This record gives sequence, structure tokens and C-alpha cells, in this order.
Amino acid sequence: MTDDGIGGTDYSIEDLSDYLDRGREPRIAEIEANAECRAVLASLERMADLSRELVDAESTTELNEGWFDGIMRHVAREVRAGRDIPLEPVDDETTLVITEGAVRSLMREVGDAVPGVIVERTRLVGDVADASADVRIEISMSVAFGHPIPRAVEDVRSAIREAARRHTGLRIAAIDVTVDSMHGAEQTGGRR
Amino acid sequence: MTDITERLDKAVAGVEGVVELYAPRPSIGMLWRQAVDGDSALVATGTDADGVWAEASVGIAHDAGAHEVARAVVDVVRAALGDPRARVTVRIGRVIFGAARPSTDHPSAPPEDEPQEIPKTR
Repeated sequence: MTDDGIGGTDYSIEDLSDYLDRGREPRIAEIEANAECRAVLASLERMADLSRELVDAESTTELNEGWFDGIMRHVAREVRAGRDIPLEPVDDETTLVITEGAVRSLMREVGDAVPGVIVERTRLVGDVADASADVRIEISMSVAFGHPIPRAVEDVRSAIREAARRHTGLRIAAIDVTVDSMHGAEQTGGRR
Repeated sequence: MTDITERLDKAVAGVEGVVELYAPRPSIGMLWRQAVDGDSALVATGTDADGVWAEASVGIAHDAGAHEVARAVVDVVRAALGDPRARVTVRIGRVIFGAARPSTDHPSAPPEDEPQEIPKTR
């Protein structure tokens, strides 16, 4: 798995993974003060937790490594700050924004928090810099065997709608959720 | 780190709902300051022809609201600068799901009657 430096640093996903494995010691200020590096570290921690949960649940196999790498490649792209999404300013002298990367990472975290769900890819479609434009959110995800898919989809959609309402001024026209893989006891993650 | 940038960092970190503070997008002036002065301030500030400016990049707790936290950051930055018309940019770089919302036991914004010298960087 290769990728460019995260957040304008020279640190790749592999470097950040190693840093996490070392318990984030010695502390690297450039990483800790970088929003994109912090988001990748959080994703790596969540994936590690998930992998441990599957092992604890006596899943027959751990997560498929290629699938895991694919998700982390998506994470690396999603955490990029990207476009600035405007928040309502206090006055003419203020500029308040939330980055596209922050919103996509939030969508991922909110989705991952739904039982049995692993978000694979997030996307914001539309002119997010224009407060009056309609925006569509696209989510691809995997559901664990044994979890009802319609319920998982509805829970993800509901959680993402609430998070978008709370943290953005986006006009959400639709939240399209695609379940394109399953993971867990019967198969390795990512197999369709 | 100068007195004012240290005060700004503390003030912003003390805003309820702010969980992380990031280095702002680097500018030539900022990189120069870091290289020459070893300045590690996270909230950037300076003056230009239009007056005082400041820029803060923060991570916030999911259970806080982005709008409310951003506005609170503007308030404490202006209070710390002693300039209610300072141009302030707040960029939310992360929303941290599951982060404990910090209690407000951080030092509060400094009083407005202590004007600080603002470094000229732009």
C-alpha cells in the first residue's frame, strides 16, 4: 500500500501506522498538529479495533488484507482538506468553514459507529462551497453477516443526516447508501 | 512563541467543544517564522494593511455544534487580541466522533484591556 504524504507532510499511511504501533512515542509534533494525519490515525485505530473484535468473536478469518488496504486508500483521499464548506459567518470580518475532509471523515466515523457497519468510501457530490446548492452524499459500506441490511442502511442514513445537520449548512438532497460487500464470520471482508 | 500567540492558543484550546488545535495551512511568512524563530504557535495572527487578522484550525467534539464552536472561537480570539473587529478565520479540520467534550477548566480568554503586540507577518 503506497500513498503520498498525508496532509502535506512526508508521512505515509505506513509511517502513521508504525507511529501508532509505537504508541505515538516519541511524539511527532508535525503529525499531532495536522488534522489529516490525526484523522488517518483515528481510522487506523478503528480498523485495528474492528479486527480485534472479529478475532474475539471467533470469526473464521480476519479482515481481508487487500480490502483493508483499499479502505485505507479511500481514507487517505477523504481526509484531504479539500473544499471549504462555509458556515454562517458572525459578521463581514469572519470566515467560518468546515473542510470537506472533516465532513467526509465525520461521515465515515458516524457510519462506522453503527453496529455491523464498516464504511468503505464516502463522497460529497455537488457544489459544497455554495450554501444554496443541493448536495448528495454517497456512502459505500460493508455489513457484517447476521446484521439486517435494511436496518443498517437506515441507521447509517439517519446518523449521517443528523451529523450533517449539526455540523454543516449543507442542503442535503439525498444520502445514497450502497452495500457492496459483507464481512464477518462467513467470509473475509470485501468479498461480494 | 510570543506572548500573544501563546495566549491565543490557550484561549482557543479552552473553548468548550474544541478538542484539538492544528497548525494552520502554511504560508511563506509562517514557514519563515517557524524556521527563524522556532515559533510553534498554532493560532496564527498578524497585521496587514487592513488591520489585525487571525486564523485558527481546530478539531471539535461531535456532540458540540460546528457553528456554535466556531463562533465561540471568534469571540475568544477577538478578546485575546483586544480587537473586536479583527478579521478571524476559523477552519474546522476535524469533527471527532466519540470525543469527550472537554470541561471548561482551561484558562479563559484574557481580558480585553490588555492589548498585545501583534507580529507583522503578511
